[in-house]
Amino acid sequence: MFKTILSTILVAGIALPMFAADHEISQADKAFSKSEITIRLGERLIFKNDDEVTHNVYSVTPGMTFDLQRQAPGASSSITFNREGTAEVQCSIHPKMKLIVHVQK
Amino acid sequence: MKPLNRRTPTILNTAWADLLFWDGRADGLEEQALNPISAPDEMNQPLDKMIETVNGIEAYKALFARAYPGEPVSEKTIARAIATFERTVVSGIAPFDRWVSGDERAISDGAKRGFDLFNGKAACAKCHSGWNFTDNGFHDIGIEGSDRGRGVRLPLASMQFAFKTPTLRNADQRAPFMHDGSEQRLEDVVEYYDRGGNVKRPSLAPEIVPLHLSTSEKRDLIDFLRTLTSVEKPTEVPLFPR
Repeated sequence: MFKTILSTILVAGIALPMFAADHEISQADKAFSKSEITIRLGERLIFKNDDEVTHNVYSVTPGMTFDLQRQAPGASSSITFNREGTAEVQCSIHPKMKLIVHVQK
Repeated sequence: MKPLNRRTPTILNTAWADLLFWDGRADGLEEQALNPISAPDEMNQPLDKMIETVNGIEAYKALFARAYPGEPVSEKTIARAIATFERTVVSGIAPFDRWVSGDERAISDGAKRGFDLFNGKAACAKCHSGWNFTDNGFHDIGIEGSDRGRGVRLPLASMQFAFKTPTLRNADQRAPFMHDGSEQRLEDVVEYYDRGGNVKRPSLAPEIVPLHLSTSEKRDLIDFLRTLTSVEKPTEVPLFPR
């Protein structure tokens, strides 16, 4: 069910290098740093865990499902969106953490 | 009614909760309210029969008409009425709150040390956080059994055997503890976390590790937990229309 159509890079414990097409979302105090973001097709979202607890970013939006799995404090994970649409992103452990991602051409 | 596999979760302070039930399957109190009424293992009453019963009581019809003018007695209005009542079940001022407000004598020195442990060595606050002592989140804390909890609703690896973090407000009045009622006393709960849970499996929350608390530290932690209990005025049971 959670087979992703998006490409994902998981890096535990270190910061990922940022490129021009990257957007960073921080997770701190059990909240995302933004509630909504618009990106272009092929751009990458980097989720950085700046919290003291584990997070698990995922989406079950049809056609845009992904599961970044558990992220320890300090870890970063990224996902590249290769499909247009709007994804509802949450933390499975802390469902109050919500982020809307608009992917446009 | 046969015993359920899960302990009844408290409705205390659920006015501030989003996902209800141990597995978070209800999105809001209105959605939660009707579930135990129709559940086969609980009240087992078809909802159309429930509406028929309430509609058959004149006094209820009048009360509903006053509360929801222009709307019929329905699943929707009954759910809203129950949810509205549930939102009034709120914990009061506990000794811990009086201490936080500056009354140094409100709790014992042991309880103050316990609060330090709660936030530090025992790391309880990683999940039992905020004024209501819950992150409203879902964690596998390592309890034995085949109940996959949140994992049935949200089939991610991290959600297998995960259950909702309960509030610790008034916790010492709600034994037995855990989603399955498997721990009888607060002392048992502290021992449970001190040994790092009962089951090691891939979904176990990384926060669940042996704590190596001393006997006096465990006592301090329990002393602190007991300061979260408020003394409420007894609720008067209303006379229900018949």
